Amino acid sequence: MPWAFGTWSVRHALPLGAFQRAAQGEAVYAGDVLAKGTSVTSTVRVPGARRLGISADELARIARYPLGAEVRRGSVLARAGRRFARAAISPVAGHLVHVSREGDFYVAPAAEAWAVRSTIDGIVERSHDAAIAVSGQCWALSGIAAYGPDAVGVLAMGVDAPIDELRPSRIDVRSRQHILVGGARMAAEAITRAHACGVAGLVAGAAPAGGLRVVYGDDVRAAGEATRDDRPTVLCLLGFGTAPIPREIFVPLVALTGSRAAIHTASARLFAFAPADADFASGPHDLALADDYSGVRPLEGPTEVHREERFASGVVADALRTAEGPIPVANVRPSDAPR
Amino acid sequence: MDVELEAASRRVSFSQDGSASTAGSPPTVRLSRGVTVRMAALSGDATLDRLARQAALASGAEVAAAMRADRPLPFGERAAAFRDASADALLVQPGKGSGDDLVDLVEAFRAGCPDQHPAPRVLLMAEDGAHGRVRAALGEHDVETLPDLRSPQGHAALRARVREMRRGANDDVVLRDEAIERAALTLARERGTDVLVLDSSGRSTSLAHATPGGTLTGVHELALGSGSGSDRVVARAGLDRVRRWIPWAVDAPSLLERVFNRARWPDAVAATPLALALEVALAHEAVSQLLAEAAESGIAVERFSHAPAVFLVGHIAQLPRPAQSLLVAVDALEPLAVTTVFRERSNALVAQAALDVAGHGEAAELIEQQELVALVVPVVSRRRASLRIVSAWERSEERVAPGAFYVVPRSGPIDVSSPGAGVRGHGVSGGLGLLIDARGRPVSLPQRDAERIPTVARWYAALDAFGPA
Repeated sequence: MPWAFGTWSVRHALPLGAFQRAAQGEAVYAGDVLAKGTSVTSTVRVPGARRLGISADELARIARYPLGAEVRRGSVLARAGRRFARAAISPVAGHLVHVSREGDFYVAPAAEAWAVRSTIDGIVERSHDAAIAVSGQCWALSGIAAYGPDAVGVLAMGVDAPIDELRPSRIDVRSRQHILVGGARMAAEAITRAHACGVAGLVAGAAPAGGLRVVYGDDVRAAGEATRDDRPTVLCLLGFGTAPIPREIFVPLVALTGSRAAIHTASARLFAFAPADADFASGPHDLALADDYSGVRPLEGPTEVHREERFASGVVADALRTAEGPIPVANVRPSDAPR
Repeated sequence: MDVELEAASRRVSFSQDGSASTAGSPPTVRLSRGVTVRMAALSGDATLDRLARQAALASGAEVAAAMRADRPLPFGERAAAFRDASADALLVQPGKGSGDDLVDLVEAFRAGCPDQHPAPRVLLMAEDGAHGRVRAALGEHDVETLPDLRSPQGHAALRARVREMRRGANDDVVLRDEAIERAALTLARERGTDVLVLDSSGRSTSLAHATPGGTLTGVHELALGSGSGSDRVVARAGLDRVRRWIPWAVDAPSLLERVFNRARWPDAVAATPLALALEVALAHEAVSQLLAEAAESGIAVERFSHAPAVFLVGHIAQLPRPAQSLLVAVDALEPLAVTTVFRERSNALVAQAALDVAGHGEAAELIEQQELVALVVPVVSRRRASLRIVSAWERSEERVAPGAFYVVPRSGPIDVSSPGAGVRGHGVSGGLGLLIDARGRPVSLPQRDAERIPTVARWYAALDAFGPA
């Protein structure tokens, strides 16, 4: 989880119904539109090859619209024959979303429009109907879970110290289009207020799981949830409940105030666009899970390994003795350990 | 052998005399859950859909999307569901009829996943030469034909195929669920009775029931567990179903935080009684969810409650007190017959069964390595019942009131009978003694915390599950 500068490849999943996509090799900036489309729910199936009396393979040759193209009501999708011509005609206005193996057209009436934006400055590596991958160089900070849609904005501080909680009173419309950095905790009130004020996203050590349920629904999971709808964007860096941000992470966040940044929710990463020679890189530091699992904290101070310690639960396990008492070795991890 | 835990592994070695230790030479076998196989099931009708779910539970696949041709849904919704599922395997089961609806379903899959990389494996469960239109619709995919899932051959073939996918390119991997099933078969043969092996760990939950004749029923859910699979348990069962098994007052939001932190911290150790109670509650609900899913898919899970011997393995068996393991087994399985409960703490049972699967020896005399926990005597009666207990040294009679849940300190082989309550059985009482469970079936808990907490606390206290260490 420490700050790192590098080349990152970011996959942007696309919903169904894309009609415009960035081409491979195209240069994009964070916030640029990578793809546009309309949502697809109901579709109309238009008989194609069978109606025209041709094989499905031949249909590709005479089809007049490519996949994703906009069609009008009455548009001729394909036409065969000369004197006694037969045609496949779209009965509705919309987009051509699919052609079946048997040669039928699927037209989706125009519905809600969507757009997917890049979360990184870079070059389009791959572009296909289901996803667009963009590769670029920047600073990145990995969290453990992110929720909501991707967000792009300017980094701003919402707290004065890494142990502070992000207070709703610190959030107003002046934070619009910003990615606000909270401290050890951001409550549901702060999340919803930030969304109402037009804040692009929130980053903090932890968010209360109950609050996430309030905002994202009862089926929300610890692994995060990338959505496309209009909801707040939240990145939890360390855990759930309360988690003071380690100094190694917080100080660069302060230094990056005013920089462009983006949250990619599928990978739970914060990208910050700052010079490569900035001195943000930090080595891994130790994090400790609370004995009752209620939070996460940075582990500081001297420690000593003690074999087979008996804990209050009756569990016998190797322990790290700290000033605050013994902690199971398994509950201490370097911040860059896979989770 | 390396036994995979949640994120780490534990090495188990066997010496010449059969004893297990945690150090030794480099492993020849790795016991793993394998890679997750997400399956999208396209079924002609409800029966086939149920068979697909049964096969997924038996093979350890995760059903990422299940669509029925006879259930109308908008094309876009179907296609979006397939895209979100990002399936590794596409299971296609044509039903009766022309197949128009199923072809539509296949087209929705093609529209949803046009460029998926790697492409999903398509498994068509139909006889060769049949269902040409469905096969044609799957044109660009390599279609693998397996026997119809309605036949035992089809079920076995699909299970073998999915397990092969889970193993990936690793020849030295034995899947944990395979080892659990082998252990159940071996134990049933050795004992000469039906046996149920319950494996509940941080990331997965498995149940394998075997008869001495070699009939096996295995159900495996590789995403539900008391550790990194705990948030899924809560998402499926609901937080209240987990919270109800904790014998203390704990508010739901802070409990959810604990669940989420545990889910993102593989192999964490519960250092406080509350954290441990949470893991016990999560294990309980993981098993309950697995049983509910199996019952819903049409698997005859009633036989699980009648097994005269239950062996606990995995994290559930490594809880500090035998009573904690026993509570999970009794509350989740709700035995209906006199049941001897064993637990196995060192992973040796599963490791030895895995060696057997890998062809490195036979999983013989597994029973001797088990810790005998208790003999559970369920007394399901609306009236006070008289229970006769006969052991080698003593003969006594207990008056059992409805709702009673307590331990009678006895050890060794025991016969119990209660003609009025329909109880008759024989078993071996373990370290905890004889557990008399007259709470009724299904075990119900009061809704209100003020009544529920004392009730659960009383059950825990009866077994001294969370008393002073």
